[in-house]
Amino acid sequence: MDAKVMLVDDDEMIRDSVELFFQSEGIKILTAASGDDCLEYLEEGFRGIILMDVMMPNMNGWDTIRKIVENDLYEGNIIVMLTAMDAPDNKMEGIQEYVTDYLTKPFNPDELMEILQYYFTLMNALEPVNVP
Amino acid sequence: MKTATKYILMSTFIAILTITLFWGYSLDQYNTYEIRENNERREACIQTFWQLLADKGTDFRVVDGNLLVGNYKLNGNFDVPDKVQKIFGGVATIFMGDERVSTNVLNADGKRALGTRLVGPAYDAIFKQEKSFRGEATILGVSYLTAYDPIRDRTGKIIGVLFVGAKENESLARVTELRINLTLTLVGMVTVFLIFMIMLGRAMKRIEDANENQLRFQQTLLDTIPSPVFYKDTACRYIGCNKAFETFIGYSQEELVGKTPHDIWPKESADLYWQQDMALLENSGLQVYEDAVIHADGAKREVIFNKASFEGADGAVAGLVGVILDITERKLAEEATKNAFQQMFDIIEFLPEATFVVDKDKRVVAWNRAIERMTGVAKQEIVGKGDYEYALPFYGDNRPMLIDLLDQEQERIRRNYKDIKQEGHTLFTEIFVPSFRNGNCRYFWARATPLFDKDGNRDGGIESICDITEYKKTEEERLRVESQLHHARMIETFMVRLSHDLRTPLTPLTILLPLIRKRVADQKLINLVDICFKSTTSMKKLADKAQLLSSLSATIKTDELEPINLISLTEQCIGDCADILAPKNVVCQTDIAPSIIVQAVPDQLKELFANLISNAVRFSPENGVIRITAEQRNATVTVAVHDDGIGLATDHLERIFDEFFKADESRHDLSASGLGLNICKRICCNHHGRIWAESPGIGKGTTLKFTINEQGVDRQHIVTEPK
Repeated sequence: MDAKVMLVDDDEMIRDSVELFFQSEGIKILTAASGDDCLEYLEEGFRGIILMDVMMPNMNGWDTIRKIVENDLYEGNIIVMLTAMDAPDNKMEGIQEYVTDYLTKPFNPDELMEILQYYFTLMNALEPVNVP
Repeated sequence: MKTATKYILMSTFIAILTITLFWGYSLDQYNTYEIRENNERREACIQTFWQLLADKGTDFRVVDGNLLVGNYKLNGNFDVPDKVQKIFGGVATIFMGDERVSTNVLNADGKRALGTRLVGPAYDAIFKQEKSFRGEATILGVSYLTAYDPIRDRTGKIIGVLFVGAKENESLARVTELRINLTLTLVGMVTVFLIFMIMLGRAMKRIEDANENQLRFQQTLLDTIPSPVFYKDTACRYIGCNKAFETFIGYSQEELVGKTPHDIWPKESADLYWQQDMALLENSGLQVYEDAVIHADGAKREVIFNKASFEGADGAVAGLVGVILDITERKLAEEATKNAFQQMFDIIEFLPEATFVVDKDKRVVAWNRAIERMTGVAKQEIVGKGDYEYALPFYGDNRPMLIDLLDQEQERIRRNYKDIKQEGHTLFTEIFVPSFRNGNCRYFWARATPLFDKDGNRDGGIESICDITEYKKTEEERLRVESQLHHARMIETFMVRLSHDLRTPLTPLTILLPLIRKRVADQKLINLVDICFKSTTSMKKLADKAQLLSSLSATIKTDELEPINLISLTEQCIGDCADILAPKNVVCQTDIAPSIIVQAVPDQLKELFANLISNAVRFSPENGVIRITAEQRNATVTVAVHDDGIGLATDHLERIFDEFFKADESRHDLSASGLGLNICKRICCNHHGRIWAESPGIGKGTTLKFTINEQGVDRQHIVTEPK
């Protein structure tokens, strides 16, 4: 699996626009429309930066992280939460240690790139990965 | 000895004496009569004797020792005496001289007592005094009633004696018999009388005993009466009393009897009792009056005299009986009750709530000042009135009010009057009066409670009425405000939701617009994309502010407060605002004492300064100066942010803190959300400070001032986080 970034968001427009942006930057990205899709990708072997939306139907971002941890799929991943709220809520209790950073919506390409660059560098330092 | 016994004995004695005297007198009279009869008979007898002798001859003489009449020898010739004896009974004798020569008087041996001689008073009378003798004489030892006549010869010489007599006992035999009979009758009568009297005596004794028992019972009865009882005769003298009276006045009955009120009571009281007693005795009947008397123990007692006259057997007033009721305790209790009542009425009188009290007949007994003021009806006009008069000021009509429902069963009230609440015996309701005192409509809150006497019986009721019109209006206003508030909250919730939800659709724009700009070569299109991007950025800011505003609605918690050095924070905020100061070349000056420390939530205080500075910059001219000063008085710090900008109209001074207010409506300044000062207001409010604007007028600059407590917020307003 080439992609090192996965966007988990139920909003198709966000998925498409972020995908377009990454494509224009030449970065491979996986987009998942739900927590289940995300878990599926992880089962298939995805490892990298997960941009996780909080508010999703059926299984929200926090529940998805919980599942990831429970299914031992967290190892080798960095989770950045995409939130519309500027303050963390109480639903994340007990799992905040698995969240590395937050990105508040609406974010612009610079913010996104800044955060990705930072964590790519960090991941490379821990485990060399191919960053295009 | 008892009176009755005395009376009987006396009667008996008098009766016996009377009978005896009568008997003696009668017997004596009869005896006299019998003696006279005997005397007359003897006179007739002796005359007949003489007559019989005259038949023999007229010439008495003694010849040869024989007494002759004519030629008729009398010696030893018993013919004439026996004839006399035959005619008259008794005895007859002819004496020759003093010797019996012819007689039928017998000796003890039964033979004629011839030769015996005349002796005694008869002899003396005949022979010495030469006259006849009449009377009693003893002949041969036997007592006779006698008549002696002398026999004279021709010469008148007494030569013999004629005698007739009858034995006294025989002559008076009838008298004796009568005496015996009478005596027997007398004895019989006396015996019968005595038996009768004894029986009468016994009967009377029984009656007396019964009377005595009755009297003893009556006395015991009187003595058991705890109230003092006395009785007096018609001269107002005490004739008896009971033990309680003895104790009350300190005299024994023996000492009391015969005394008048003046002997016992002080003159003033005694005069009164005397007058009252006399009035009662005169008019008879009953008499009741009160007085204060001094008890034997020296204490003054309030008493009621209950007196009644009583009649004797003859139907006339015979005296009076009186009972003293000691009402001292009752008077004291009455006084206490009266005082309690007065106190209660005083309390009711000054109750701030309009209150009235009715008795069990629904007559007004209390009408306090508050209800006088409320209704305009003076107490004097209504107290004592019934017939629902008290409803008149409220309804303009005499109709039942809440107080009148107190008579009804609770269940019935519950069933029939849905608006009436009950709590125990108390009823509550709201009354709407469409035109109170011919004026506006009023709302009243009425509360009625029944009053009970000590036995738990209904004894009227009390109703208090409170004018709740203002409250109702306030309540209506409150409901209106609450509704508005609810609406505002809904809007706020919607705003929060909107600001939140806006972020998601904004994200593609914020990502894609820069991407598009990079790909576009046409400068015109680039400009268009820039406008879109700028607009997107404004929308993002708007969402941020709205979210901030909603987050400020939450109450500050204790652990959020931190001590903040005001000058440091201000300088930091000015630094953060460099981006907005620079375009207009506005300078920000501070005059804040370094010692000022305030307790505040740092982020909120920063937001406050950021908003105020940004606001000041917006209205400042190019190269303008913003001055930030702070002044501490006691615990309150007042911060002023002054700009020399466009100033404010007076009518805008208050409104600038409202949401979405913009002083210059024509300016569609996308960079200003219209929420900045409202956020400031909320922050100040959160810290229990206030914020206001001052401006000398349009074009003369504006100063925004806020206060913040040295302690951050008043301690009592701090919500302590539960541990």
